[in-house]
Amino acid sequence: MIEVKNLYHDYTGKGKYAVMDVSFQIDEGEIFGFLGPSGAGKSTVQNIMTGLLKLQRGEVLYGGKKVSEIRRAFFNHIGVSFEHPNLYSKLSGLENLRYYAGLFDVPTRPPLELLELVDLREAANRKVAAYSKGMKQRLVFTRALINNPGILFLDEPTASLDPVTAAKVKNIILQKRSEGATVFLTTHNMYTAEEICDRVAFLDEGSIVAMDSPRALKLKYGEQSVRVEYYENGNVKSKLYFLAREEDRRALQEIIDSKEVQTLHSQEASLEQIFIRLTGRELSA
Amino acid sequence: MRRFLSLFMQDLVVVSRNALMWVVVGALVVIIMVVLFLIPADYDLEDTYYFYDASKTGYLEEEARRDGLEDEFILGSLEEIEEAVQADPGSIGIYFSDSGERPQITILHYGTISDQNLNLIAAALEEPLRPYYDLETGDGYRVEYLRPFSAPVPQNQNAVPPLLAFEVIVLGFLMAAVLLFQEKADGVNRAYRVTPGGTSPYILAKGAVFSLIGLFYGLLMIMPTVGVSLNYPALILALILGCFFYTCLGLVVAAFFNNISEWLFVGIALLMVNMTPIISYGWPSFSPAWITYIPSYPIIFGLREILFPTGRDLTSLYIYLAAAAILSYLLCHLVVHFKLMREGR
Repeated sequence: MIEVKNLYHDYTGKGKYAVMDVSFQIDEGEIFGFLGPSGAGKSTVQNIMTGLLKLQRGEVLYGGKKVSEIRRAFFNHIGVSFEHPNLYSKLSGLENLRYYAGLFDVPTRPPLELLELVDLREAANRKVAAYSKGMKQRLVFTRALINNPGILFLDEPTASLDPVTAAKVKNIILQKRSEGATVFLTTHNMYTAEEICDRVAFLDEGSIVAMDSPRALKLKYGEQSVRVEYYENGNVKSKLYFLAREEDRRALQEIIDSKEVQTLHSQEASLEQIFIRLTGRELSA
Repeated sequence: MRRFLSLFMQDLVVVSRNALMWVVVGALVVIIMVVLFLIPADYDLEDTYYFYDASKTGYLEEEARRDGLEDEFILGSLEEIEEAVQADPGSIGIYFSDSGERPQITILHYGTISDQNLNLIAAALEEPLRPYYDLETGDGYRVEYLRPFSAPVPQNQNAVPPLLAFEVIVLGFLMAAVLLFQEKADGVNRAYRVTPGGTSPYILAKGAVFSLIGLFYGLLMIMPTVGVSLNYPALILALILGCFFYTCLGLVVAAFFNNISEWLFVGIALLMVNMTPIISYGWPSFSPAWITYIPSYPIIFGLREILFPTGRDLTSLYIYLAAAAILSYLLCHLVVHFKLMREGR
């Protein structure tokens, strides 16, 4: 079990916290989603948990052991996928994985097998400098799997990926969970979180504003809504209205009466809508 | 060991794909060509002396002729000497007279000779006159040989030790910085920090890579220029220790900068300071204390001794290189650990 207790982090040293009083726990074999817009503090929390950032205040415990007491051998059991692909650009994808595998003291997975998983087999011998952003993202993701980690830290693993490849990555994450791995997933992609996370936490301006399973959050905060697309001044516009709100119902009626409506869909509240409702901000902001 | 080998192979491949390595290969070819074909094996660096011995005895002229001075340089009057020196500003005129009780030597020159050299010339002229004039024995100077007598080294081969010290051995200083900045640009250190890697294998792998490259670079330079009859174990040990030492220094300096542009001024300045012992190599009498503290000073003279032995003991060189390698590694460990492995912590 991973426990994070009352975590604070201040980059400036002037009391301007990037992370404030963040607490949560992740059970073994759970996929825990950390949702929030850019700059909310998601990566800061992940970096503190992986030891890349110094723990200033609070506690991070792995099976009851403090992160500050963890020794190098601990890294044999975790895998970290970074948001910004950090790879040797002069080495090929295969070489990057092969040399990375050599750093661990535990049995590692065959690099070619991992590349195959994310459709990089054909580009295995191509220099990473020639890879697209999505290919680099996939390579960083597979690198995190090379030591068969029991704990996976994934920062925006599906960013820059096409839907088919993103689905493959999500399946691999689910597969890891079925094998018993614990996954800490940082993302601003609500669909990814909704699809694969057992529980999610909404992070806004360094603080957790809500935390539960996606279904429980929807039941608690969700509202029936209608998305309408209509023509205005020659352009197609799209708006979302919550049916429980009087002013939204009135505005929707006005659109129907006065505009040329193209599509009208009723929908269940998404995690993004719940986030907007709780914070007043969009996840993709 | 597996971790070290993995890092070693990774660094070796990354370095081999850096364009700078082609520059190094090109430099090696140019150096070999210059040493073999452009620098002559021997060239005359001796000054031209014009003599006029106005004494009745003609002792100095006698000594000069005995020393092999040709007739054309022995003139007949002070005016002739003045004209000769005027015509050849690099030459030196010697006018000797003993009209009084004491013999008198006048040195005519264009003002381009240092006081030290003038004193040496005066002392050299005094020496053969002592038996004739009952001069006091040499109180004003003493002769000290800076190195034991040995077979003269051809001038072109004499250029090899400085090339080894300032091209081959410092290669790690420059290339370690280039490699480090490449890693910083790629952001790979963050990925390394979440592995069990650690600081020591990281430094040792880079040190080993540049020691290996330096060793091959040095041997490829020496074999065609100096030959194959050498004390190879001594040479290999000096090259490996020297390259490792400068690689560690290179990492220490580069760790404080983010890219090659930021590093350039400080890096080049340090390399230039490191090159100043070349003055002492060319003019051995110039060796102020401060220049002997520069690490390349003992290295350049040590390499000379290895390539052109005079019988001097090399133990002190190896003790110096081993101590330098260990101390630079410890300093490098400290800097890399706190600047790179804990960045942002």
